[in-house]
Amino acid sequence: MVKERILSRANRDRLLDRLREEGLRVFGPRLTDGLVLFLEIQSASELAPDYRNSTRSIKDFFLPPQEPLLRYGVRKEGVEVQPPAGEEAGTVLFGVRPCDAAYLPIIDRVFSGEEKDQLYLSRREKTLIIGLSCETPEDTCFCTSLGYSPGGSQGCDLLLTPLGEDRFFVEFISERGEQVAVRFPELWQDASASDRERRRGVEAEAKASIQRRVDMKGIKEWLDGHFDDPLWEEISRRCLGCAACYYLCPTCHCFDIVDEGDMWGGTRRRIWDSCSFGHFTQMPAHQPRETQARRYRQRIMHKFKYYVDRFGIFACVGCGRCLKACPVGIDLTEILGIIRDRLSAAERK
Amino acid sequence: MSQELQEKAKELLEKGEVEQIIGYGPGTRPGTARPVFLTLPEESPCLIWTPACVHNLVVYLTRKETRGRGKVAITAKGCDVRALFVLIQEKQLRREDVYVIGLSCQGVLSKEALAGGRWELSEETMADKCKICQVRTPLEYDFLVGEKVEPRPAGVDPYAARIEELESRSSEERWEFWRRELSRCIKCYACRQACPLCYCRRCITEKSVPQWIDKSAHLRGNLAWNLIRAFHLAGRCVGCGECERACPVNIPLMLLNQKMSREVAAQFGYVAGMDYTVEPALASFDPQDRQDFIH
Repeated sequence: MVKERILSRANRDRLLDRLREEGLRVFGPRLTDGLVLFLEIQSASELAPDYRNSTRSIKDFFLPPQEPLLRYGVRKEGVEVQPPAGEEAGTVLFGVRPCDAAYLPIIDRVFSGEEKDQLYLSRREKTLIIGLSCETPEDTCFCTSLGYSPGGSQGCDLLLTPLGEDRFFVEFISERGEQVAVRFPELWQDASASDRERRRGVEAEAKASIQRRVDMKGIKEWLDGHFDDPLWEEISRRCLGCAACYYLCPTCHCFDIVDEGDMWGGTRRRIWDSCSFGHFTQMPAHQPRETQARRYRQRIMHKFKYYVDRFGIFACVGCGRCLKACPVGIDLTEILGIIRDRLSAAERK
Repeated sequence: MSQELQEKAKELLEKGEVEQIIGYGPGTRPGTARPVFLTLPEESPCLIWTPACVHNLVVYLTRKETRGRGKVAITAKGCDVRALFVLIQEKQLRREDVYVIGLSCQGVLSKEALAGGRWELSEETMADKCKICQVRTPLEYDFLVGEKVEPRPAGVDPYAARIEELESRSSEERWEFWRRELSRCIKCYACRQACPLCYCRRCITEKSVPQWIDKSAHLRGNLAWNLIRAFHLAGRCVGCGECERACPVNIPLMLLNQKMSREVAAQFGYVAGMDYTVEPALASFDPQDRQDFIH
């Protein structure tokens, strides 16, 4: 099985048509209301011609902002419970940036651990991820600091890398990706050694253009020893306590479960929730995280310590959405840099 | 102007007139500013005052993190001072609790201009709210940075045209407009958290016994949330635009707020945040109040 091919731009458009003809719903980045969002497309012409990354992450497709878990009704005979309507056809996400795709293998660990989250897993199962390498990362991007790359293929089924205007270098990453190669043999052309060389060049150039860098070495170890530290108050002082960063973040995955309805029936839903909110850990007798500093600490700890403790990996892909969305200019890379500086100071002592 | 500001800040902290200053400093992204919190005179060189200083810092005055740390000074534009006035009217603060470093203002940058790297203030890059501003020199201050600015000559009101256009549509079309806009809401509550007047200790969305409004970010829940917030701000909103600026999904919240403000002005002749010695329109009753809208 050849793992690398060339796809012309015209054939890329055909690929999307073929996938749709198979009954799959194809979503791609579209420009709407000043945002770039993954919306369903009927043809490649609807794709945002030039975008750096989508405003919202592809998390929306796997853990949507709200989803029904069950419907209930109270009848004379008793309580009637119905499962949610099953998910419809399979989905294709086209044009996913490598940082977003890389979020999937990280968060799979939560949803496919001891407790299997069937809603999440069935969507994973039915979704084909066609990645698109970044050529021009934004000033907020820092994927390389986390070990990812603008041309990385983690989480992708296929990865396309633009070679100029009219051609893409295609890599078939997963088994599901290889099936795509087999299903549409007429679309691909052979890749030459110079194509391969160019593909590497595109990635290297994009990588080099990323200015925002954090040295992650030792961050986790510093966090291990500094649950109580004046730093938390310092860095969270400007935090307003909204969830813009949390909800745009691909890896933030906390949720709440609510019942909506009346005494005769309703819907139980899973909805996004955020440790930034004052009531997130509210209990009848006690609020253990009563200040924004404690709540902000939780965000950092969850991503860079607890997740590493449990799964051996940082829960961050460096997409930079948090620092772009923050209404008061909080910069995660600056904070990690401050931690890094404390560490160096401690090492020097 | 930044220098004048820095010197004043230094003096206030040195003399012990205030114990903390909330102001603007440079952000980490090029061309941006962000809130900074000072307690030491030697920190004053970090203060700036530029058209990128878009935030309404009054939001921090009611926070636990600010209260109880001694007297506070705040740098405030005209619109920010109006929000402060409402807080005083609503007895959240006393005037003497805050030292106001007023910022004389020609306008700040729009969200789009800031994001697009257009940092020079012009008619194109100016935030819409500044185009109808009547308080370029703050109504009240303890110290003013910069010279007093003349009121802006009457020009195009960017909201009036949009409100008028929307109102000319049928109710089905208006519903379609808001259905589309509010469907995007993800309930991150950036609008609420950035708003200096959303200071409720417990927001209605957090009241779960009983659950008054759906917490879910579906259309019904989004509609309930955004409309309740608009109503709660009617007659209180000063049009600082922070909710709309903070919204990560570009919902035109100022259209709602401006419509409500204009309605209150028309019905009660009241404009919020212009005088803290008067009773707020919707917190007082006057037999002379118009009643013809009650059917």
